[in-house]
Amino acid sequence: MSAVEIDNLRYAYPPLWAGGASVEVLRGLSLTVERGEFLALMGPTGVGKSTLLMALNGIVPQSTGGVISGRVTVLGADSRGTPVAELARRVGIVYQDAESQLFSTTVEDEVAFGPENLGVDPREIAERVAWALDVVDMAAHRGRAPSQLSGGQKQRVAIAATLAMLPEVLVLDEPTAALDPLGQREVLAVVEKLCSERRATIIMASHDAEQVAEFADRVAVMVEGRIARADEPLRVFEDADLLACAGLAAPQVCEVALGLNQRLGTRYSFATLDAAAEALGEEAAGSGVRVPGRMGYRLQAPGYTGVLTPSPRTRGEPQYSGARVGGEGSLSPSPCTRGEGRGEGSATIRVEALTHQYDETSTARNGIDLTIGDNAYLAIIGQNGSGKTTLVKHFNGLLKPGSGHVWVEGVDTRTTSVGRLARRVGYVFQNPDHQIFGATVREEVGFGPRNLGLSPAEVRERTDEALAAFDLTAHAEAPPAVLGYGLRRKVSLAAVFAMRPHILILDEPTAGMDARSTADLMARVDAMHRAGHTIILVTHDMRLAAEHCHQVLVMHEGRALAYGPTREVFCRSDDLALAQLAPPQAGQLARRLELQGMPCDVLTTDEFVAAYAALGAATQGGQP
Amino acid sequence: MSAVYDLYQPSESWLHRLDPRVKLLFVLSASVVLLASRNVWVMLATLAAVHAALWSARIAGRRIAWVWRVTLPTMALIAALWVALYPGRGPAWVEVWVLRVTTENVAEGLAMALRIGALAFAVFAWLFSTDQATLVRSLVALGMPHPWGLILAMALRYLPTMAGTFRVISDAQQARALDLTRGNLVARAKAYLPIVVAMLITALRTAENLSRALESRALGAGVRRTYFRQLHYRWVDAVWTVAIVVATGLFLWARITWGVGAAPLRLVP
Repeated sequence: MSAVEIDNLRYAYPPLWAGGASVEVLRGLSLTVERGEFLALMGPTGVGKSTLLMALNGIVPQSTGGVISGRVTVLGADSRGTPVAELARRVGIVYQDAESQLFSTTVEDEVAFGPENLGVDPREIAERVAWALDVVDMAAHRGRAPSQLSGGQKQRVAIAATLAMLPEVLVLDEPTAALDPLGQREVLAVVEKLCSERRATIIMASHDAEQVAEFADRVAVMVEGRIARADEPLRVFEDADLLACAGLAAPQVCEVALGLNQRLGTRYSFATLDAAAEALGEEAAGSGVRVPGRMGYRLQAPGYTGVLTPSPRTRGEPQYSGARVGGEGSLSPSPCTRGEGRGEGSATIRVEALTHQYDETSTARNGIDLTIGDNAYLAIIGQNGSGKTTLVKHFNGLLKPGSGHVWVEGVDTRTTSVGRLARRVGYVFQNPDHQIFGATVREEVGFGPRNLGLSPAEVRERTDEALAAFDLTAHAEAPPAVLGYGLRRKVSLAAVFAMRPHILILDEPTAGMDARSTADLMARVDAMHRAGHTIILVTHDMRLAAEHCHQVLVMHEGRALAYGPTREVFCRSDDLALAQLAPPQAGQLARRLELQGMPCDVLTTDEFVAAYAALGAATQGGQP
Repeated sequence: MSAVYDLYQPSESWLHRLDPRVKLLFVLSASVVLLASRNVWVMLATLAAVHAALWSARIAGRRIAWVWRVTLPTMALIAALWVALYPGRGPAWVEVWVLRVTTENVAEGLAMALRIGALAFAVFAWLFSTDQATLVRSLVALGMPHPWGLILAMALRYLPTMAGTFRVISDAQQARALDLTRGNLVARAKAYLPIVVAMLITALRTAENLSRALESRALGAGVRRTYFRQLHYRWVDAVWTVAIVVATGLFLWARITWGVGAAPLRLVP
């Protein structure tokens, strides 16, 4: 018997408002998952992945209502006819939002909650709690309050709480979407452990192709409420038509394989970093490439503008604090740095000896010196709690310096109100729901301009412009709170865009969004940068930072650990390691092939392909 | 942040080990004694006893100082109002218009103020030495329906979270030039509307997710619920129970029979 059998499942949510139409999400979906299999579920935002997962434990339709047809069988039980609480013995589900699934006052009470509801003997509950916390490596935290845990720890506790019910099928709904890189690694380590040691049946929805390729036995891709294809990760990620249709991105190493095959006529086929390193490393080693030392070797290949080794100043220099990027007399970007000559000139934000401390128990953000040039495109990266948000909240005056100064376009933030700074600095918060309150999208977008005291005509003009810029005109009269996540994200961005700030701060703008929505959103942000705005991106997505931003600031334990042009910062492996960060997959792959002569400052797929082709040409003494 | 909402201070002291139901009995008994008495010395004795218990349980001095900081303004207000509103008998120290300050009303005002302080310290002694999960468990063990206990636990759990969300929403709206400081009281209250509405929408989303998470973890499975957290009523708890009941009973008997604690200054009138 299969673990899960879904046959021709159709489901529509009840109307969102009286008189509205039902919202059809699943449209004749069929899928089978075998016992002990790890199935990854992928698809664009809003395609119905969460709905499908909730159908497995009966929440859909038993709690949500709506119209359902077709059949969902989990370990022989019909999920529509079996009470949710009864199904919970067999199907454990971990949701994306860690905050709203931990409701007890301590970690151990949280883990015990499920077995208590199932009437398990207290002595056995104690054993299960100890075991489950041990599996997720949280035993040392059993007495702590969930509110005191990091995002990754919370998600691990949520997994432990589900495991303690001894489910035969574990369902994970984008468990790492809201986590920093460290939290993602913590959760994935647990998933890997469950797969390798316990052969658990796992169904995990995810947008992260690299994670999926690493762990999943099979990938099911959802398009328009149906499974378009369910196959091995490598086969799925090589299906370019399918990925284009579903708006998904393949792991970067798959794109590397495709690029190499197109350029060199090779037949590489890999989906994981290890497989790529093995295939390309053996190839390079087989070609007899041996570099005399690791330094001092420069490649100039068509399409590749990077240097083989970082410039001397990127090695051994203690820090970039106080460095000025893109401006006159600055630490000038190396010739290969993207963004060169794009007017990233005079300082727009200047931070001098900034310290901030929330209260006497928190860590002070000590002595940050920073200059951000006009029209800069800066990514601020670092783990949660490293001080990224604290720093950028000083740029629009939400936080005032404990000591030191912050000047924004020459204005001292200490003596200027948040409202006045809002004319210059726009701040899009991570969660769109933290700013959405309007009855219509139009009202929401016009809120900022109205607060600026503009005339009704100008408010209308700016609102219309912002709605058009973010393709929201068709939704102008809809209530924003009931729109899908991707649209709500656009509304929050349009609402800030309408205020026409010169400096735009975006906090995790693409978290939880699929590749197509991400590309769409970033195209608009890129356009704003081209129009002369200064863009500051707070992100955990290294690939996003590498592909879009011209400078990177690494925050670690409240201080600026590294600051400089993107390529140079991503070459500072010691600093990245200290901040527990890693460059994008192409960069990691290049670094793994460094001994074979690959330059370590590669950031994008195209750069990798060009550098690898050039490596072959250099070895053979000819052109690629 | 959570420290503001969770008063528990971990320790292995005798007070921490005491069954939470016995500590609750002490709070109730102390309340009865304090409410039945109007005597300064009874109030001071109760305060001294609670302080001795806190000291022996190694509760940090800053926690005790915090309780004093919180309660002292209320105590001072009560004492002042008592003196102002209840003209005392006997010779007056000061007499201005309707205000008449005498030994009697000063002593009574002091007793009323100390009563509030002693009651507060009795409750805080319970909260300082009992973690939230055990506290809720003890209430359920004493007959509170489990859903009520769950609601109480969730309220305690989500207080810091919702406070944090309120701050973030407030920041997000202010970043869109919302000014919360201008205008009169009505204008300022109105300025909070975008924050309150966004807060409401976020709370509803959280509640929806929460209800799904609770269901997914077999709440209402239809079987008799068991409890991981077991309360152990030991012989020492029994000794304390008897001691508290006897002491309270003796005081009430003395209060009724001889009027002990009825007067503000003299223990036995």
